[in-house]
Amino acid sequence: MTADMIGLMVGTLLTLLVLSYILGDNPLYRLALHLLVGATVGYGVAVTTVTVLQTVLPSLQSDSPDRVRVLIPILLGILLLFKGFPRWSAWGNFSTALLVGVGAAVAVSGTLMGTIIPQTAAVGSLNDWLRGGSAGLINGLIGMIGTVGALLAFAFAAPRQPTLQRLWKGSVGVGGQIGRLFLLAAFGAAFGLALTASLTVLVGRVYAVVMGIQQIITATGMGGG
Amino acid sequence: MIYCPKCGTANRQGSKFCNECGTPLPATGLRCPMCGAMNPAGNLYCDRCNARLIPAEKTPPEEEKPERPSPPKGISLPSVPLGEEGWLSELRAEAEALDLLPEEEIPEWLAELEAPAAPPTPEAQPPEAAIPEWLAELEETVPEAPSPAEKTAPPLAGIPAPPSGEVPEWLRNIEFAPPIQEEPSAQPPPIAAVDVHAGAPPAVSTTVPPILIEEEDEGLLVTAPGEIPDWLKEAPEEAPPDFGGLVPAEIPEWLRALQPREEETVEEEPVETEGFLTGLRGLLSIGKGLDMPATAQPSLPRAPSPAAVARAELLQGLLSRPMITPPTAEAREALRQSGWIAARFLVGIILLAAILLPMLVRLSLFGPPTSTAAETLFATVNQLSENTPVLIAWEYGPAESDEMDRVAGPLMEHLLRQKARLIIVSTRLEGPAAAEALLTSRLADPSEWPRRIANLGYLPGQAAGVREALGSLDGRTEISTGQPASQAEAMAGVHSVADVGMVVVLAAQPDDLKTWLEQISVARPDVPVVAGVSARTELISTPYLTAGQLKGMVAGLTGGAVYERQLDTGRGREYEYYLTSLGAAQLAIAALTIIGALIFLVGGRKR
Repeated sequence: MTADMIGLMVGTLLTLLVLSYILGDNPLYRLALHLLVGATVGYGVAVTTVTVLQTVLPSLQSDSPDRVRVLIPILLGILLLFKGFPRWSAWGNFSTALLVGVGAAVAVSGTLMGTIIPQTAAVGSLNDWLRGGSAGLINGLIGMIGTVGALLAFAFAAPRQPTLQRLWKGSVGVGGQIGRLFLLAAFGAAFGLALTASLTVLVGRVYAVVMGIQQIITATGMGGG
Repeated sequence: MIYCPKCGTANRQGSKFCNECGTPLPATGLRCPMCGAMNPAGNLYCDRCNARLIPAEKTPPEEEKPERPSPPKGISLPSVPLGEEGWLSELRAEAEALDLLPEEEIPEWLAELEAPAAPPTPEAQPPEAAIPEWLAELEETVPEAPSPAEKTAPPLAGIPAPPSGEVPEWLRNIEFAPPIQEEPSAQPPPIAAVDVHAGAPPAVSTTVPPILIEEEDEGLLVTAPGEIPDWLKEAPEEAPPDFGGLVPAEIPEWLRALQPREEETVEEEPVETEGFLTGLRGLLSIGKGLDMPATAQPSLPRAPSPAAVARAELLQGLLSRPMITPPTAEAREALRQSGWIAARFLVGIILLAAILLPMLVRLSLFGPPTSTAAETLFATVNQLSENTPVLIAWEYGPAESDEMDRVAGPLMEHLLRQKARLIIVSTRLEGPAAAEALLTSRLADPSEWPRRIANLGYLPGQAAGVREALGSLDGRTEISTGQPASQAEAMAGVHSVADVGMVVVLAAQPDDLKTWLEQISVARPDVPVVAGVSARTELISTPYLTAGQLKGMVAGLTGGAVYERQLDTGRGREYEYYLTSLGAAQLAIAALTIIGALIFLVGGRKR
């Protein structure tokens, strides 16, 4: 029996254990769940060790300039370990601050340059609308109305002056209502797509179990043929 | 200022506890039990509502009242109500009558009495023969050995007895002490034990208890004619301390409560034993003294209510409940009766039947799928020249591989057919292994792996790690061989993302796609980016496709089926089964939803 066959059998068995949840919470399902969590954690530790530690630590033994470049991150990483001890957790503050600060800076710059500016430009680009013909124009208009309406749906303030308040309710209020309709449609679509993804995984699991059983029967000769 | 009865520290007016030792300070006023207003300590009635502040003393019933008159009171405290006693009314009437006497009718001795009398001198003392006759008779009737109790009243000294003939009617029954035979070296005569608050002499009447006169040396008591009253016989034997001749007044109960407490009677406030207030004393007032609440406060319930007990039990159960709570027998029975288990089992069976049916019976419920984005991507990949380096962000693991392998499989095979060089990175721990598993199955000739594929493994640091990797791809390690990426054959000429011809993001989660798109837009916005995403991520990736940030996209099983049909790798039957099963499962869920809604509408909420 090959390793692939053993893997196929174990995978099929574990899939059946997970699917036993259809009968409710039971020890077989819990067994598969614990195996999954344990294997995930163990695999994560192994990957981190191989990918990070075994790649970085040998650099300390070399005489290359990279030695200093690697030494600082290692020092920061060691300081971060003090976060696990309340008495000395302050030693890890600099590492934490560096992580949070750099992470926030990178994320903000990426969001600004990669999402906000390009998406805003795309919504208002009349050339893009016209490039797609009538369908592109309608699509662009719907996108524009939906975007503006969704933004107005989150406008929770209003001016106090009665005249401005009436104008506000007539414009922002109506736009917000339209935006809420778009939000409802978006949430519905998101739910439907998430359900589709889950069903696809279920179909794949059922397909894997059927194919696994078929292969096991064929390999072990239990089918009589 | 309020002085602490324990340590003597001066505290601010209105303080309830001593600043030095924490001892409760006596209240400085009386709170009216009716209106709640604070009154000075001497008030008998409230300044605001005239309610009585001090409860009246309980008067014994008539039959229990002692016949003896009350002892003389010392101060003008309202311990004896004025105007109630008949003898006092008579006394006041006689006093008024006396005030109305003409000047010439005032006896001489009384005029001398009103004038400031000079201290008696031995020379001024009247001779023995001057003792009036009634006094001499009185001396004979005095017993030899007076009881100690009779010493309690100081003698009435220094007041000469008036001549009997000049004594007015109202004064005849009052006996005065004879002039004291004072020795030259003797102490000053004691002050008369007159009720100093009784006021003028007219306050004394015939019903006033007889005034005791004491001779200092022999303790001789001179009493009024007649018997010693019973109340005097029952007087305590202990002589009161000498206050310089002043009779100690009877202090009412309410006034006694205001006296500084003895040290041993001061109760210790409870000391906090836990929390950050440990060691502090007297944090909770126990409400002593006369500082009564303005209004009656409802007492706390002595037993917790059933609702409170139920809430406490629920919280306790939540705290002590294990992570996995085995259903109790009652819960299992309730579930069985509700039909929930049967309903769930029925739904599961229907779903499995809908998924398995297309496998057993070849069904063609739906037409061929279409995806413009997938076709665009296919055309884009077709334009890649041989040995073009392609950076692939492999952002899914085994949990999503059932779907994502159908998305990424045809795309990877297409890239391999185009003889592109694939550089694999991932911000997920299981990404590199999932990539290796799929590429192994798609690579026709395993010997071409080193030349075609470089797996750079896991990128820690999320967005920061992505940004760093985009700038230095050759600074990493190829995990299949363990060599530096710069030495990998597939990495020839590739140092950063600027050197690759295309970036492919295979993302099962929306955030992973956003991270890569945003960081590439910052690092190299001119590099074409395409994506293979799950159905869950399709919604958020479509705007990027519309905006031109994505040059092509394979989304979900439908996109994978379209790409597979374009590429024709021989797995069309598998995709057909997947799509048919997926459609059947969706129809089953829609049917179950409609049936459930109908049951709800027909049967009501209880169903």
